[in-house]
Amino acid sequence: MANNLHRSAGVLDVPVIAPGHDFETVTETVAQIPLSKRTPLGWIFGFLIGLTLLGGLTMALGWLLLNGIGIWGNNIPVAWAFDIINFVWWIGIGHAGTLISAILLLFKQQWRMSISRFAEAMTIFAVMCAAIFPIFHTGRPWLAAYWLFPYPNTMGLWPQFRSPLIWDVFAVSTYATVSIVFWYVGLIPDFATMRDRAVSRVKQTIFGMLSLGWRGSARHWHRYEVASLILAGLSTPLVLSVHTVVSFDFAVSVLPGWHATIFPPYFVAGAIYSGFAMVLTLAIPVRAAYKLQDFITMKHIDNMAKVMLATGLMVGYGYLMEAFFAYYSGSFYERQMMIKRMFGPYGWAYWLLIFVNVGLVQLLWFRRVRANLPLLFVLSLLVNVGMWLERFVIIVTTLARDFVPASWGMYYPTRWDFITYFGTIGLFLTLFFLFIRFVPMISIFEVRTLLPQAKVDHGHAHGAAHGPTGDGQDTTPRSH
Amino acid sequence: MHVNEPTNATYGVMAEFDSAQTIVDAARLTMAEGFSKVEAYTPVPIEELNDIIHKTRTILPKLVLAGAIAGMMTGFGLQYWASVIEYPMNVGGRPYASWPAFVIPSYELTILFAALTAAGGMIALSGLPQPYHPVFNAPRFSLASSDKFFLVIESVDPKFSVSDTSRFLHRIGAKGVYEVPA
Amino acid sequence: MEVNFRRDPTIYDGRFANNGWLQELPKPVTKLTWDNAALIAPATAERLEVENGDIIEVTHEGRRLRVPVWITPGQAQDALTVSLGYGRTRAGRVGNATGFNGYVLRGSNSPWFGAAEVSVTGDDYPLVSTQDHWSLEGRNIVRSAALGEYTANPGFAREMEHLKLDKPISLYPPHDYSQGNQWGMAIDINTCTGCSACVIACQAENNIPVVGKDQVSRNREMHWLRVDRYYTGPIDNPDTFLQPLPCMQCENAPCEVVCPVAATVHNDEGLNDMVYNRCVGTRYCSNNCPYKVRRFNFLLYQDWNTESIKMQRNPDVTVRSRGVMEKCTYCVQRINDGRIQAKREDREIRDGEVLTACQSVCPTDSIVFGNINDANSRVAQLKSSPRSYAMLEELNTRPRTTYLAAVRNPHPSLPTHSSVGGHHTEDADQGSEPSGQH
Repeated sequence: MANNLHRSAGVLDVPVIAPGHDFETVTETVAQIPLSKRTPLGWIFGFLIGLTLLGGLTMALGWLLLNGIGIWGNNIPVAWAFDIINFVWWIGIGHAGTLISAILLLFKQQWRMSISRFAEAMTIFAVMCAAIFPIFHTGRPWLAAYWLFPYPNTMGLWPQFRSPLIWDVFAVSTYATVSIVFWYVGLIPDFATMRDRAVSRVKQTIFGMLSLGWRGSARHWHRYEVASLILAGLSTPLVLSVHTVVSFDFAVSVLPGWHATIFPPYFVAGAIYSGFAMVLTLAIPVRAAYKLQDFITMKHIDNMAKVMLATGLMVGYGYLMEAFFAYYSGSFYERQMMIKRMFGPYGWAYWLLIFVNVGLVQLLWFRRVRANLPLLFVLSLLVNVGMWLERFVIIVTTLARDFVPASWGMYYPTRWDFITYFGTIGLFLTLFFLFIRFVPMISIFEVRTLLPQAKVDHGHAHGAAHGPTGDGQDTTPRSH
Repeated sequence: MHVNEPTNATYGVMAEFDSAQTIVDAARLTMAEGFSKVEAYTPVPIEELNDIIHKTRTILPKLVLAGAIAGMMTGFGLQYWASVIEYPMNVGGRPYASWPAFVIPSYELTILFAALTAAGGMIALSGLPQPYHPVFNAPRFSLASSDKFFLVIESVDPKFSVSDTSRFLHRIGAKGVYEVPA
Repeated sequence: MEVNFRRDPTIYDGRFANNGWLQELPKPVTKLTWDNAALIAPATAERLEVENGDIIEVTHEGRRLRVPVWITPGQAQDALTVSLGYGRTRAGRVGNATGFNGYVLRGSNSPWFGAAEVSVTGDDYPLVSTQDHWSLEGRNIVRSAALGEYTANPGFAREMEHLKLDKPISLYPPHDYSQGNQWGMAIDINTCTGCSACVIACQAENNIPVVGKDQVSRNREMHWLRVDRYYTGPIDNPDTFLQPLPCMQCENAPCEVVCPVAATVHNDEGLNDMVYNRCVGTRYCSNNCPYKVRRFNFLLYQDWNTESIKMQRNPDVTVRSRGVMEKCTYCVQRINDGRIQAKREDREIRDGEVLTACQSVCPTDSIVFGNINDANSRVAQLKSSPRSYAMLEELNTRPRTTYLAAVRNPHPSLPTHSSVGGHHTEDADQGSEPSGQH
């Protein structure tokens, strides 16, 4: 669709859905992927890669359970390293899905409809990858798995609620639960579609059960729309709070470089930044492989790139403020921390991250870059590398160079650190490939609402949550 | 012949439409005609249909509010009880009732309870899961989840008669009218 | 070049080479463990173009030894020191293959020093030290003044704060510690010689494991009490300060707040209690400790099986398995013992009755522990000395372990930098990034 780009009033003039579709073509294009018996070769290839890395994860976690945290590079003073870096990285990535599903819904942004489902799926899988670390990074995970939760017990003991790690437990559990619920609720009508189109008895039964008997009655749709709006309205403060709570893991401590009030908004912006990068990393190949360009159009790509730019700028502001606070506060330790971060033993990581997150992201100002899919793909990968480095710099440089110089010590990762990290990428890929294969990856019923077949006259849009606004959001087919 | 008692063999008659506009117009006419046991089945949500046919809005938002309040009280109550009453401990010199810290899990539980109420309430209020419903007996109904819109008038409606109601539905623009066995 | 032979500060003449505690004990000045080295002056190292761990070949009276260098500020120029007792081949499981045998070089003609030639081999050897950074980096962790300054201003240490706190900066009222025994400790930097007997005493008393050279190289030594060593002033002739660092037992302990399972909480007598069986090992407490006194069992460091080791251990102290944090407890088992004894005799605990392990072995009485609520106790009197200060006071941790600043009295014609710990002193950049192991 690249040759269809032209500017009108500075807005990319590409429709949110390509012209020439009706309910049946939309349904068929998306539904036939899970229903078909054929599995594309590319899928098998990608799935096997994911599965291999997942095998590595299993091995790494098994070895960890047998031996202890000592197989990693953590030490005193750097008691947290790859484990918490990866945890924050994964949780951050998950935030884009909720933003697309929930926040863009509240803002009535139509372009969210075709990407919301797989962005939500990405969120759920990212949270699952993240959740491995709070359990397994502990010295005794078989106890941490349940002692961190409030439950009545013979010891009369409860979690220590002032600890940010307990706040994490509540926030991440809530986030995982609400994300899964929101995602599943969104799938119910599409599972009904699959049930009604499935040919094999097995698929009919499974989709039948998953759809709960959905029949699309007006009364049910009404409740559904109300529930969706409520869930979106709840997910918005939730997603803002989750990475805020994660940032509290650092901000609540006394350490220079961690104890900063900029952390909550800085982390949330960073999370959305890395999340949208991951959505782009997934969307660009998937839309090409499954020929979904009519639904995930260049408008979507353009908008996602713009969100990345905006949040990248916020993150850059965060870096600037950190440096400024260090100077302006007059705090001796804060200034020393900043100098060590920039010019100490890990200074290379700091400048690399500035180059990617502040430097490279400026490329997104240019429409030609935003429309160049291979370049955008590479950029999205680099952004996630940059965001990983950001957590590395925050965690490791502060711990390695804190108050008492006699305690300063370097951190070096071991092979198990890397295998575990890439293993979680394998888990993510495995789940994501399973999702693409067996679940309709685009929200079929929502995309239908963009078509003329779904229009109802006199003014008010149908559906409080879905459907076009009256101000000419582009949905009618154009002849380009 | 006017039949007030339900006929056991028939659930109702079902009219098929091609677009949201046509079913909305048809629904208006149907309600104006005096029918009351009516339901529409569509592949997309159409808010007008609920207003026309059912007229009332769901109580779900109120349930969600109750859930949210329950969540907040559970969260704060649990933390307060555990930290002040049941097992108070001097942790870092902080007061036992560390309410700034307690805000955060309370906030999360508020959202959790509200969200579960919203989703669970929506599903339960709609009587789901309900694997069987008479409308699934109509063969064309499988298209209700793809690209066709259906309007059903149930046989328990006082003005229902298989022949008259079917003719009425043809008149108001149905592309097809089918009898739905019970 | 001159080569000097010395008895090793930890394994003596080699008789203790098979003693794991002594092998792992960081040597008082170099903080090396598990090996000896040829101590060399920074200027000499620069001249020879060698870094820490580079192996040189020392030839003395025709005998040769390959030994790695260790740069030691304050070492005389063009003089090496090689400590004796290492390099044994039949010392036992622990002592074999550690260090380099100084006896190879040493002869009866000149048993303590002599002329030597040195050549750089180009090889290197991993030397492991527990403290790589010797500079105070402009911080007021250790405070000292020359005698004249002390006489003029006895409270000099109190003024060396980065941030002056007139009153407590908390929103909340503090817990009431006015009743009963409240334990505290005062450590006198002025009298500490750095002998490190306290470290071994703590290890013996508290069943602290030996982790081995590889784990020490990864910064995982388990000593609860460590002795930090700082150099200030010119690198070839610095002043040296030694600071034993146990747990500060902070009243507003930052470690306690962040533990998710309440495995570390505060007791009524002012101790920060470590509850091993509740700890799940998130290590957040270590991160939040600004003094970094906490240690973590990254692996199963304790010998769980050897019967004789079970007999060696102190039965009053838990043996920690893998995955739990541990730290100095002010020898809480001794406090409990003292309390039980006092209860039996229906009296209060007397000052000096409960001695922490470190206190009981210190040859210069630098460590004083006791009840700060008892105005007559030694510790209360020391804490009221004008030399008394708390480390990192501006963080409002309110530590029970405080220090007494050093007072030095060098001859006026000697160069000295005895005033240490004030704002932004110029030795901030010296020796910041060493070429050491970690």
